[in-house]
Amino acid sequence: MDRAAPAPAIALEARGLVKDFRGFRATNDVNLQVHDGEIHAIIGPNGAGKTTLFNLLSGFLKPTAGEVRLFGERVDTLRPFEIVRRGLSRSFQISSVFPTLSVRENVLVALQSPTPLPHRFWVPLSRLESLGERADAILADVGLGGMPERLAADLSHGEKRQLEIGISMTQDPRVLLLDEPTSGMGSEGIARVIALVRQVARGRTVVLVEHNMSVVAELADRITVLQYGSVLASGRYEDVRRDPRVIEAYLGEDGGHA
Amino acid sequence: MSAVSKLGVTRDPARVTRAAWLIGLGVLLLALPHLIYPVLALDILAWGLFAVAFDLLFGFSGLLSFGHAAFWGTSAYLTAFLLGHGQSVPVAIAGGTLGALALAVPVAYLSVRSSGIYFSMITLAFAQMVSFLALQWTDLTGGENGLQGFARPSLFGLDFSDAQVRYYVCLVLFALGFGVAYRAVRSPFGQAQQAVRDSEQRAQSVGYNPARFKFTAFLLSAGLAGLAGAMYTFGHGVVSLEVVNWRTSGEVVMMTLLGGTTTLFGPVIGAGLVLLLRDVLTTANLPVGIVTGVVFVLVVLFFRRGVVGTLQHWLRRR
Repeated sequence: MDRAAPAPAIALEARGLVKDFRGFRATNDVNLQVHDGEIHAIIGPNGAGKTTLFNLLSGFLKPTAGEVRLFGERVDTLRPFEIVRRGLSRSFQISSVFPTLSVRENVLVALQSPTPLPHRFWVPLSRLESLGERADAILADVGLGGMPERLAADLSHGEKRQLEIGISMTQDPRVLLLDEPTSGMGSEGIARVIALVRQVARGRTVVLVEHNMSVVAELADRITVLQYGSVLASGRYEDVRRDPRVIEAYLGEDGGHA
Repeated sequence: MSAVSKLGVTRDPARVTRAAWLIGLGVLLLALPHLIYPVLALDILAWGLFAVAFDLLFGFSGLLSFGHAAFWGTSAYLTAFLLGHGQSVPVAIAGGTLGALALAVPVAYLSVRSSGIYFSMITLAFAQMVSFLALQWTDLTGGENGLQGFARPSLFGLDFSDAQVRYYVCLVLFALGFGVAYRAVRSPFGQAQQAVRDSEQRAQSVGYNPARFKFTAFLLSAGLAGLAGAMYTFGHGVVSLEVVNWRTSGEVVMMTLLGGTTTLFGPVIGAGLVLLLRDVLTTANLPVGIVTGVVFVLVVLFFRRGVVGTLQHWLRRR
């Protein structure tokens, strides 16, 4: 990316975002610009307010002050499912799937949400098969094509994360928020998630919270560093990792190459 | 039969199990008034459907209503009132059911935004209001005396003074109500409903408005509870304040848990077991409350899935 290039389109933006919890300021005047089409990593020590920021961006929390804009439209006043319908989908830090449904049903139930089907209690389940091909394609994409009938509750931790990303993909979001997609995974699983994130990032914007710096180095175009709820630094990965304040606060002396 | 195999009837073992349960239950219910006295069989049908209706909300939406007597009771009274004012049986039953449904609209609207114990308390509060109204509004309900002696005029040559005839009419209504519940659970709506129950957060993040599904589930549940209440009036010929009492709300919880939630067949079996047990105990002059209470505690402690749930679990593991 050339520094002299014209200003890129902004996919997701936070302006002066503040969130107070009973006197505790979890998010303090955060300004964030996520460019259209980039992979943007949000990093910071535990308690820096990363997940709170995610919850604010996706409508699960209402900001005390400030605003969130998705492709220029204000979304901080909307409810989570309304934001999803405007093109922003998210995953959760703790694997969040529908445990009593099968793997395929998990994807199908998410796929049917924008259609009129979910409100039809009088039509048979087989009607969902109109979405079957898309469901199978998504399952193949996230590497779960071999176990469509498995109960989601019986999946391994890594498989649940794969399914989660698959569920998020059903909304074909323009902006995808991933909350620590590699947490609790071994090196093999991490490699698979990196490949998966790359694949789903094609043609869309991805924002991820991530602790593992090698994952960030591998994936992120730009990063934002949070500390005590405020933005410490934001910019291209190569620039930010050399910022002395960032090195002191988080990245460590070797600049993050663990 | 290519259409059949395309739907996976032959491949899907869960489907075969469901069909087996359906046939088993059907045969049992067809034979029931010949095995036990018809009025008890009628009670099992009405309470069975009531418990199925309750399970639709509790099992599949995760909402524990502690006020379902409001819908059962409103319909029971309304059906009796309509019969007492010269309406035909179908009109009275439809009127009772619609009355319960109409009552459910504001109750559902105000309650589905809360969950857990708060939801239970709000539904209980509404049911207590209905119970109070039933006690006070004696022109409609007969107050402490209840309603009885209302006509059940014959229709299409069916003599409704015969309990056997009433039973088979109710069996048709039961099949209708059970069919609605069965279809709803195994529909695109049912899947979305269960997704909302499993993880409300996750459901929201794929674009679902959880309250909307809970609202629909509540209406379906209350409507079926209303149909069950109308069947109860039609079957018994007597309506008393008991139908709106909080104990009725508690009883349907017990029946559902006993039979097994989210099984649909379970609540019917649970209702049957409770009513049969009570009948046997009353005849033998034993303390009904204590024995049914002990049975309930034992089932909840050792067979948490309920009778049908435990049975299905064992069959699946073999």
